[in-house]
Amino acid sequence: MTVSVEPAARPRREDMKAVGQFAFELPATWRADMRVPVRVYADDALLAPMLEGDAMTQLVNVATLPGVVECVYGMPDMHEGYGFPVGGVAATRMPDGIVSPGGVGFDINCGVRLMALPLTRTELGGRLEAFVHQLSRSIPSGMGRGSEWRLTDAELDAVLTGGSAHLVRAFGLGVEGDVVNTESNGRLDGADSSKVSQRAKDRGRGQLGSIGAGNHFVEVQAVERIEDARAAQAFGLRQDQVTVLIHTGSRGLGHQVCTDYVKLMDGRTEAYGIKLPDRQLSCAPVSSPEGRDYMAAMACAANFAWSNRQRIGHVVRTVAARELGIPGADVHTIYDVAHNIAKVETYDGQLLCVHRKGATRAFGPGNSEVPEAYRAEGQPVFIPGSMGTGSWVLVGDARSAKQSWSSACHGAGRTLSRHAAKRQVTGSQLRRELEGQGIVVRCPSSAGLAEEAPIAYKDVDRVALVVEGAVLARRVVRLRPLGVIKG
Amino acid sequence: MSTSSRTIEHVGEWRVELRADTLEDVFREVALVIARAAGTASGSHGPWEDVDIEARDREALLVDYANELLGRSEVEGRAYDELRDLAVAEAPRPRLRARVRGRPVTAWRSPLKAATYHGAELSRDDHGWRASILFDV
Repeated sequence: MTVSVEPAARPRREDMKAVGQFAFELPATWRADMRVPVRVYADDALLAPMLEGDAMTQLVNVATLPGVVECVYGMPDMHEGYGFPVGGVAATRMPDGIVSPGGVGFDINCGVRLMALPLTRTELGGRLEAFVHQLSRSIPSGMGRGSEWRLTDAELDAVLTGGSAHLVRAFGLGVEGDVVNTESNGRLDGADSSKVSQRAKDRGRGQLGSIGAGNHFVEVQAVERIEDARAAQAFGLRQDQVTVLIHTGSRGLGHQVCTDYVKLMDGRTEAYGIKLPDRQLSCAPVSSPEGRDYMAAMACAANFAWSNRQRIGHVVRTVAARELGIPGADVHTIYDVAHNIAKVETYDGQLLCVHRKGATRAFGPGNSEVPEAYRAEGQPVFIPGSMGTGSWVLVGDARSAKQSWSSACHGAGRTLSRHAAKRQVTGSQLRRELEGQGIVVRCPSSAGLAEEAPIAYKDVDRVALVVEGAVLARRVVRLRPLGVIKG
Repeated sequence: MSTSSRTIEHVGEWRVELRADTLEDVFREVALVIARAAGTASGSHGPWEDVDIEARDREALLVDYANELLGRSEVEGRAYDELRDLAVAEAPRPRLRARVRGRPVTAWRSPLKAATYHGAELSRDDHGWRASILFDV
């Protein structure tokens, strides 16, 4: 028998109460099964599409989960997903609140790493195209294109438990500064590779160091504008500086971990007396055997994702050395942050399991988990826009602890489906437009390029302004794209 | 009625609706949808492989079966487009048994990560069987 309750109608604009210039709240009384209110950070323009689709209903569904505390949050880039909306944040009380694999998503620790090169766009000059081209030749991208390195069982287990630090220390694929400037130092505690299925290991063992497909990319950029000079200096960013942004995750390994545990927990919800408005929210108490096993497997997938970006970062250094004559150690990892993850964090003495689905951690100044060099300013936060528009580097605001469980948004947020995007623009047309703007494009699939067209996304500048206005994070620099490598 | 599939709009992911005369044909069509999405397959078929899936209900059987094919496809590098000895039982628990085989994918297109339970449907009406699956892409 399916354990479910009938979902209610979609929230309407008049149901939402403004609780700040960029915050709207739906009370916990709006639907009978809600345990906490729903709050979204948006302006009117960003709120409208959230209400038109199922994103808000999905956030309401999240507000019904057992053990959820205080409020569930929607980031300014929130859009419809499955189970959790993309851009949804929720915390459950430890140890008996739930953890939901669907609340993390299939691409566990999908995230971004920003690296800075010690040269400006002007200094890069006419070498841009060759640099982008060589990156595209050196970094496997696209579905079915994995890595030439097929990890043995022992190598894979070491990566799953050791994270990106293992790649640096055991294989020399990077420098210690990469580890320091990675969320959780690139390794979640509690990883147990025996909780990862053989199918998951087999999907991932040939994929370490590859981008994958969908919205994943590597982008070469330049600092276009500095909004916060002090934070920019702390991060090591200066006007016109060339950067490389890597966006990918745990590939097939993470997808399979999520698949395995959504299925497992779907079969256990009745036993735990959990009623769900959407089966994709299947979950179990964090303290239960299923919850503990998932946390151990998810940690493995998160460590794999950090290792994936670590290895790609190493390739970026190698290509920069070969093509631009830059010593590898001079290519600096600004930060590496997760988008899809569940983490145990403490707020006002309460131990919570914070789910961030398409959302990024955004710790403010003084937090001990922020690298020492950045601690006076706060954690770097990245909002990649669409190719052809721009991206933002922000810095976490301590007030976000009470506003969003120290979270900010992870991107501009889709507004058009992939099919709708392809109806509006062709890949070849888009390629010409981007190249007309001086952006070098490397993408094997024209259809894949069109699916990720700028028109498919919200305005990243508006999203970044709302993030700042809602005091989730503060804008530091705007990056403009120079070259795009898409899967 | 012939077997068919069509895309239903979804902002972030890919929802597919399938129609078929029989329950077995629904599962055959799911395999074809996933194989076509994978990309261009060529060359000889690989060996027949056994699939045996039991689920708590029909919808879970549909999704778990799709995930089984997706996982195999990525690991083996094949598009599983042929099934034989397909048997779908509804009691005591929904169960699917079949033999599947696939051809090597030479040009991958599919960004399909997984099939989800979100809004999954598998039901019968006056026109035959109807199924709906949302894939994470």
